[in-house]
Amino acid sequence: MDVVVFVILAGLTLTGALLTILWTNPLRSALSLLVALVGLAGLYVTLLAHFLAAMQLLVYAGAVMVLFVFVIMLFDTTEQEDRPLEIRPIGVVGGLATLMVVGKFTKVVSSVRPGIDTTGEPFGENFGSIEAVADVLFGQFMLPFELLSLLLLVAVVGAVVVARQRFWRESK
Amino acid sequence: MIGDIPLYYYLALSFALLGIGVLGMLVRKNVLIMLMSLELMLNGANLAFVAYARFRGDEAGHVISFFVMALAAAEAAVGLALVIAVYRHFKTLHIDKLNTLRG
Repeated sequence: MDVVVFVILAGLTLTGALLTILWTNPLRSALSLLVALVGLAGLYVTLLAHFLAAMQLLVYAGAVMVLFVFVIMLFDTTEQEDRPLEIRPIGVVGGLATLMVVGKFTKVVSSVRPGIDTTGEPFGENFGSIEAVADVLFGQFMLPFELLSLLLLVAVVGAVVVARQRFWRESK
Repeated sequence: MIGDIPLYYYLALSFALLGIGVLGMLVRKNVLIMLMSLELMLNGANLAFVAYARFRGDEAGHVISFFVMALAAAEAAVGLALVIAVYRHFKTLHIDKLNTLRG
C-alpha cells in the first residue's frame, strides 16, 4: 500500500521535474516545478518529516515559486511562448546519459545491502516533529542558525540593491 | 507501515532529480529555466538528507535540509534580482547573448 503512495508521489515529482526542463514557456515551467515541489512535500510526509514538509510548502511552494512567477510576469516572453521545443543533439545525448547514470546508480545502491533494514535506527514517537527538530536546531546547530539569519539579511539587502534602477545608472 | 519502503527508492529519486536538474542547467538556454533547474538540484539533495535522517533516526538531516531550503530561497532572490538587472540592460534572457564578459 505504501509503495503505491510512494510511486504516485514519486511519479508526480518526476513528471513535474521533467516538464520543468521541457516546456519552452517559462511560466509553464514554473508551474511544473511547483507540482514537483508539492510532490516532494508529500514524500517528506512519508518520511515522517512533518515539520520539513510544512516548511517545504511554505518556503519553496509559497515563497520561492511566487517570486519566480512574479519575475516571469515582468518579462516579455512572446518571442518564446509559441516556439516548439527544439530537439538538440546535446539534449538527446544528455537525456540518455542521465537515464543510464540514474539506472546504474539505482542498481548499485540497491545491491550494496540487499536486505537494507528499512526501520534503521530506532527512533522516538515524535520523530520529525517540531519539538524534536527544534531540539537539534537550537542545540547542535545554534551557530549555523545565527549565521543563517545574517545570510538572509545580506541576501535581502543585496537583492533590493541589485534590482534597483538607480544603482546601475549611478555606477556608469 | 510507511517504513516498508527501502531507502534506495528515495536515493534513486533524489539522484534522478539531481540528474534532471543538471540536464536542464546544461541544455536550456533561458536563464529563468536554468535557475529553476538549480532549485531542482537543491531539492534532490534535500530529499537525500531527509531520507537518511529517517533511516538513521537523527533529526540533524532535517535541520540541514532546513538550512538548504533557506539558502536556496536567499539565492533565488538574489539570482532573480540579477536576472532583472541583466534583462534591463541586454533586453534578452538567452544565455548565449550574455557574453560581454567573455574575453
